[in-house]
Amino acid sequence: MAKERKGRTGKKPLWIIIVQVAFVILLLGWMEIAVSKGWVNRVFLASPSQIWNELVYTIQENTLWPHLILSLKEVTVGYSISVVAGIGLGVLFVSFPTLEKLIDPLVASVMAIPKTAIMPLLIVWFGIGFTSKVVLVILFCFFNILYNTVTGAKQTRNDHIKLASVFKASRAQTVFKVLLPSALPSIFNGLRITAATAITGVVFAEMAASKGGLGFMLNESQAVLNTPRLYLVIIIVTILSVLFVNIVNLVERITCRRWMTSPHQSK
Amino acid sequence: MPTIELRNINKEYSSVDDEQTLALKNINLQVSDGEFVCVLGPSGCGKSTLLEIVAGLLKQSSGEIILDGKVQFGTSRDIGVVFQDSALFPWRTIRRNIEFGLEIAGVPRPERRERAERTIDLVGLGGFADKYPHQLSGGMRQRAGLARTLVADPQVILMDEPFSAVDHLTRLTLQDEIIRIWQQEKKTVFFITHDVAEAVYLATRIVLLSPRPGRIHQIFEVPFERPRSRNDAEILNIVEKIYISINNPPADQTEYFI
Ligand SMILES: Nc1ncnc2c1ncn2[C@@H]1O[C@H](COP(=O)(O)OP(=O)(O)O)[C@@H](O)[C@H]1O
Ligand SMILES: [Mg+2]
Repeated sequence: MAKERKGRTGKKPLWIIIVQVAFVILLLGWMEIAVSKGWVNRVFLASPSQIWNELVYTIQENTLWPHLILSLKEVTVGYSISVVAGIGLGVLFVSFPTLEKLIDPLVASVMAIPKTAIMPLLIVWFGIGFTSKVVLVILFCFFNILYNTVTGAKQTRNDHIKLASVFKASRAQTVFKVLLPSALPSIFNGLRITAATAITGVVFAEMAASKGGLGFMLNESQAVLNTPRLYLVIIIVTILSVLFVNIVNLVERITCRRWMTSPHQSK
Repeated sequence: MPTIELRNINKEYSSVDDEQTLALKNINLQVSDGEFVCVLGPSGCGKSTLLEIVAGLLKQSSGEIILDGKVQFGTSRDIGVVFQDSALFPWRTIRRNIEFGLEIAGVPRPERRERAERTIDLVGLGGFADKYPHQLSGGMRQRAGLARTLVADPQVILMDEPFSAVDHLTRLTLQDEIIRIWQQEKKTVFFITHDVAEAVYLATRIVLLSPRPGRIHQIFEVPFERPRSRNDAEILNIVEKIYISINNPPADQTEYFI
């Protein structure tokens, strides 16, 4: 535990940082030269300067923002619905175990379907616009959050449950004062994993069929062999993923830091 | 006047392969107001089972628990429990852990604060109220667990090997503390331990259990004044008697040991 902490907050030796930075600079330098000298086919690789120019160009032409904003909207709406519904149904399952027994087979079977296989059906049902993307994000995220809430609550320490019983806590008091706080670390694990999945889901759905969004941009760039733009969008998607995960980490730290012995422990 | 009466308590556990384990057999015991009863026995003899039945956390297979003349079903606010490793909620400060029972009972916040404050002083946790459990030593956590039970003001306090997880010296201090608090608050205490010396130092009466099935083997009165000395001849005499008794199990069980 103490070691883990040190690893996270303690400083790395300077030489490691120097080597790492040097490696990245060398790689970028090689990409730049390899592309400009024609060592590598321009369809396969884009140089950092090309990617940068593409970024400036798409901003000037106003072709980036609309797609970025659309994707962000789809992710935010889908993710928010998943969080509220996933934790909400999780609370119901935890409060009424009979309800869980009743519905669980249904939930489990829907969960077992590979979500990507449903995409064509979603397009038939909801069209190629906003809704089908939101629904796919929900399918990607909801179940994970639900299950992390329920399994987290089930990991509540036995003597904590006995304690609630000794003080004659009602079912609601037990759920909200004992089971859910015990489940918090597990809930945050679910939120963290799905934050990255949500972005993946949106990009995938947009690539399948859409009129806009980052996935649409990827398709479009590929069709016209605009390799710098492909790299640009991939970088943007990656940054969004990392950003989303870090927002979840921040919220977790704000809620749990004071009492958790290490910020990412799973139990 | 008996506060708690255990009448013919039997407990049978049934395991997965339909095998029955008789954990407790014919437990009969009367505990009077203000007594400090220690239940002593080797590990696995059914001490925790007995405590959970008295607490109402576990249902006996047969028999009755009577509290102040009334048959008990389930848990009661008149019976408090102190758990082995304090069982504090890691997400609550010590103060809010101590307030937990009052919060559940709907005691208004100002009264909660005041009662918690008083109990924090009583158990010697002044200055630790706003810390989280992981910031405290095992002994301090155990004090907090005790405070959480005391603040709800139950008539009877049940403790399941509450000091077994702390180091020896801390344990001696906590033993003195529990006696001080017991004398001051005039509670009835039902204290489980597997440590003979601890039982003799604390108890007014010791109930020695024998294992498989758990039943009352012998009861020892410990009528000595407090403060007691751990090395008094009388105390050591009782310790010796208990060891002799442990080595002479009930007649129908001797075959086990041959
Ligand atoms: N939930 C259970 N199911 C089956 N057997 C149990 C269960 N709990 C305890 N036992 C058995 O009952 C006996 C008494 O256990 P316990 O009350 O925990 O003893 P102690 O607290 O004295 O160590 C042991 O033999 C134990 O294996
Ligand atoms: Mg035990």
